[in-house]
This record gives sequence, structure tokens and C-alpha cells, in this order.
Amino acid sequence: MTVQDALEGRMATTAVNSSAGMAPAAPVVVARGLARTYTLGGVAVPALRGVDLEVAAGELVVLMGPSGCGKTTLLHLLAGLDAADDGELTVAGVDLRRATQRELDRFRRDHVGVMLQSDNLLSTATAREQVALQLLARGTRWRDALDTADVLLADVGLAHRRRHRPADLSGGEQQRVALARALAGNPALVLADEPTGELDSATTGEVLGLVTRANQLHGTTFVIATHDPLLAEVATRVVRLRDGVVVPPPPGGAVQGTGPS
Amino acid sequence: MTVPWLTRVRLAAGDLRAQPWRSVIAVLVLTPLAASWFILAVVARSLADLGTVGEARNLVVTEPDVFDLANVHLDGDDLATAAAAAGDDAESVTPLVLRLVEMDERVLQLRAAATGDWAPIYDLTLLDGTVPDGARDEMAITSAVQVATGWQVGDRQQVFGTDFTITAVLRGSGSKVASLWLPLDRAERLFDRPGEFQFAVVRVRADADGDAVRARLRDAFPGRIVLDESAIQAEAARGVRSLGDIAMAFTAVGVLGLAVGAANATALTLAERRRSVGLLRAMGFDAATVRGLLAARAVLTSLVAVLLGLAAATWFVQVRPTFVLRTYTVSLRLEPWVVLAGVALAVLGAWAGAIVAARRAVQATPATLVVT
Repeated sequence: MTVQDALEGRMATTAVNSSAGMAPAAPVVVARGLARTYTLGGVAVPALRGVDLEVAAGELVVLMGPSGCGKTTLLHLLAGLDAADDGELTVAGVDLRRATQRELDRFRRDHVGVMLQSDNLLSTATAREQVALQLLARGTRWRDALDTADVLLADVGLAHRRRHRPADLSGGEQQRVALARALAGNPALVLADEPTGELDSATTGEVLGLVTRANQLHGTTFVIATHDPLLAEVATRVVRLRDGVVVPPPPGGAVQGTGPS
Repeated sequence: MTVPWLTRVRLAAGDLRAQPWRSVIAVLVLTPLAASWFILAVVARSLADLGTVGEARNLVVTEPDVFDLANVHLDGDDLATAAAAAGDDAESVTPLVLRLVEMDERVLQLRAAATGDWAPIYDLTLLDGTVPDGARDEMAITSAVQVATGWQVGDRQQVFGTDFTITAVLRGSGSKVASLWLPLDRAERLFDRPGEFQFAVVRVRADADGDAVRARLRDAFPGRIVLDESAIQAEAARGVRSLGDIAMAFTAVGVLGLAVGAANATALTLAERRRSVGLLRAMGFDAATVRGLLAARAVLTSLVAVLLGLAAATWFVQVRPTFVLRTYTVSLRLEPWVVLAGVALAVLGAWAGAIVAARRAVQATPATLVVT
């Protein structure tokens, strides 16, 4: 599937939804005044300075902004990998600000799929084991997890590479494996940090196609941090960040989340 | 969530297979540690089994110049004097011929006593062959001599110009550990000194006062010396058994070394795989499960090393079933409980070491781990 195909598919789906008069889905992400500050060398560095964000079920939201604007930090907070210093944050119905460590582990296990910025895979596991591990974490027996992993890898066109380790896979293949793993178990939300950052244009198109297909066919909610304008074209909404805050859209511009200017 | 043990082992095995050379090196580093543990445990166990000297006590009357045995002459009158001095406190008073003989560039003791006295008085045990016949040119050797020389039952060796056939291998201890044995009558014919010997051996009854008997013997033999052979041997046995205690202490050090080795290997793994640990946390594995996965890897590595170490120790015991320590012949044997203990301690030690190493690292926030 090419980017153009993905874009046309997105527009068709939007038209169908609009004509059917469907009611808006309940938000998967509700963030209010989210703040996070890091201390580096004794110096406080605010990464997020009060972010408001709502993501409805089935959306494909793209976070864009210059390096250091807080995209990765926001994704880490949404994934429960890190804890906010201030604000409110509910993802898939779980209040992450008040969750215990055990509840956060369960949240990540049951509700979230994650694609990190780079080195997404375990270096010593094969492609099928990477995906099966996610299913194992979600309570599937190992044998069943391997079988399901084979199906998921076939969905992303990697059935013939399922027994290869990351060192034997190309960048695009690694990202497809990471995507299959993130989608394993049908999580409520998939978070991806620069999924196409190290890929060429052809491979980027392949990965984008898989993302949009998962979003369109299965209704998987995505929040993707990226510099890639191609991703912005297939997004249902683009949210721009700068210096740790959401930038309001220009008058008459693309739909985006609200936030203090 | 709980990852089944079999799945942990499968994942750990896959992880080790993915880095074969590294895994082999890790195993090779631990294997000598494991082998030495088993060998030390076997030695300690064998030394602990060294029995005390029999309750009865041997006192030996001889002349002061024991370094020139050819000039030591005791006879039947000395036996009678010893028997009179010991009285009813003695089980027996018997003669012992003792000479030094050079064979194969070694100096060995040649002892001769009535074959009926070999077991009850000199604690000799027949290990192989048959007791020599005094009417023939036959002799016995102790197992220590066999180990040192390689002589076997059936071999012929020349002793003081006469060819003797080795008919038996005996287990001796104390001062008799490395010696040749002849029937008394054959030795008298060999040296052409009938009725002459070097030691009068007084076997004191277990319920008698050995020190009192010794004092009476000294009074009865003013120009001669009275040695307490049993006391000397008991002291040597205590010393040897203490070596067994030291060996056992070293086995404890070995377990500690294995645990430290596992902790070190796990720490190295964690240092290189912080991001992988972060990925596992991002997937939803809790800290305890991640620690368990890392520990399974360490346990599997240690288990392979222990099995290889066990194979090496088994080979060692087969190649060297006995060794001589001071005056004792120690027989090595690998008992099942030693094997089980070694495996269990290796598993526990590796597990503990890996858990300790992983505990702190895994508790870092997943975000900290994945940005490494």
C-alpha cells in the first residue's frame, strides 16, 4: 500500500463516517495541564509545561514539532513509562497519575502498544519471539503466542522472516516487526516515536500503509511522534508542540488538540 | 503475571543460543570453579571418613638406633620380658621384622609379621589377591606402593637378591602406609636370622591403662625405647581430618564464587542490555518477572557449567581413585548426595547472585532504561 493509497483510504473512511452520522467515540487519552521537568547536571529542564490533549478512539494523531519540544516525553507519559510531575492524565480509563507501579505494569501490558524511537527489538529474540513475548505478557500461553505471532507477522508481510533476529533484518523489517508487536493483543492505544525516522521513502510508505490499515480496518488508536510530513498527511489530526506546550492551530488550519498558547 | 518456568527456560536457552560464543565463554569460566568444588567436596568427604585408630593401642619396644635397623636385634627373651611387663593388660606381644629396602630408586619399608597378625594388630586390609604363603617367595604390597610404582598382583620384584611374586595388595595406614609385607618365617629365612626381629609389638587392651603399661615397659627395658604407635597415628589422623575441614570450607568459598560469578555476569548483561530490559518493561513485564527471566539465564549457564564440572570431577576420580596424604591412603568416591548438593547449590547460588544484581537495575523507570 502506498502513501497515496493510504491517504485516499483515509478520506473515503472519513466520508463514510460523516454520512452515517456516527457519534464521536469516547476519548482514549485525556490529558490536562501535563507537566514534566528533568534535572540534568543540577539544572531543571522543563520538557512539558502544561499540555492539554484529548485523543478519541480510532484517531490517528500525529505529534509534530522541532527536536526537544517534548514529543518523546509526552509519549513516555502516555505509555506509563514515565511519571508526570503535574497535571491529570487518563489513558484507556486508567488514571496514570495515581496508579501504583503494579497498576502501571498492568496498564502497559493490557492497554498500550509501544514503538520506540530506535532499537525497538530485543537483540537476541527472533521476529516471532518478539511478537510472542508481547502476547505472553498479555497472558497468552507461549505455544499459542508463537502461533498468533506467525499470523501477525504474515499480516505485515514478514512470514518468511519470522525466524530471523534483528541483526538479520533491514530497518524497515525491524519496524514492521515492532508494529506487529505493538498491535499484538489489540491494545487500546499504540504509541510510536519516529517510526519512520531511519527509513527510506519506499520503506516509509510500507510502514505507513500498515499503520493506516490497522487504524482504518481495526480502529486502532495511534499517537505518533514524528518529523515526517508524510505521516501528517495520513493523520486524522496533527498536534504541534513547541517548547513543551501545544501550539494552537492557525485560523482555518488543520484540526488539532487544544492547549495553552 | 507469572511466566511459567518452562517458558523462562526456553527464553533463557534461546537468549544463550543467540550469542553462542559469549555463552560458551561464560560456561568455560564457571566450569573449573564447578569442577574444583566437586573435587574438594569429594576429598573432604573422603578425609572425614578416615577412621580413628582402633581402640586398642600398640606400644613398640625397640632399640634407640632405629635409623640403622640392621643393628637392632631383639629376640624371644625380649618378647618374654615385654609380656611379663605388660601382664594381663596386653592382648598380645608379637615380633615385627623391619628393614629398609631400595627398589626402583625408592626406599620402602619391608615389614614381616605372622600373617595372622596382619589384620588384628597392624590394621591391614586385603584389597586384592591372596595373602602370601610363607613357604614360597611371595610378598604383599600396600596400595600406596602400588599407586607409586604401578606394581600389580602377579608382578615379580627382587628384594635383597631374591625374586618375589606380589600376591596381594593391602591397605595400610600410619607408618605402614608405604611398605612391603612378608610372612615372618619367610623374612627370617631371607635374612638368615631366625628368631631375630626389630620391634616387639605390645597390643594393649582397650580397657587397660596404656600409659601405665608404657611406664612398666620402660622400666623393664632401661636401654631401649618404647614408642606409642597409636598415639602418633591418632595425631596424624587428626591432622589429616583437619585438612578435610579446610577442604570443606573451600567448597563454601566455591559456592560463593559461583554466586558472585553469576552476579557479575548478570550485571554485565544488564549493563549491555538496559534498553532490552526497558523494552520488556514497556511490553508490560513487571520488575519481578524481568528479574526472573534474567535469573533463569544465569541459572541455565551455571547448570551447564556444573554438569561439565561434574564430568571433569568424575573423570578425575576415575583416573586418580586414591592418593596418599601424609601416612594415609585416601580413597576418593563421588557419592550421589555430593552430586545433588553441588547441583542444588549451583542453582541457588546463581539465582541469588543474578537476583541481587538485577534488583536495582530493573527498578529504574522504564523511560530511563529505554533511552539508554
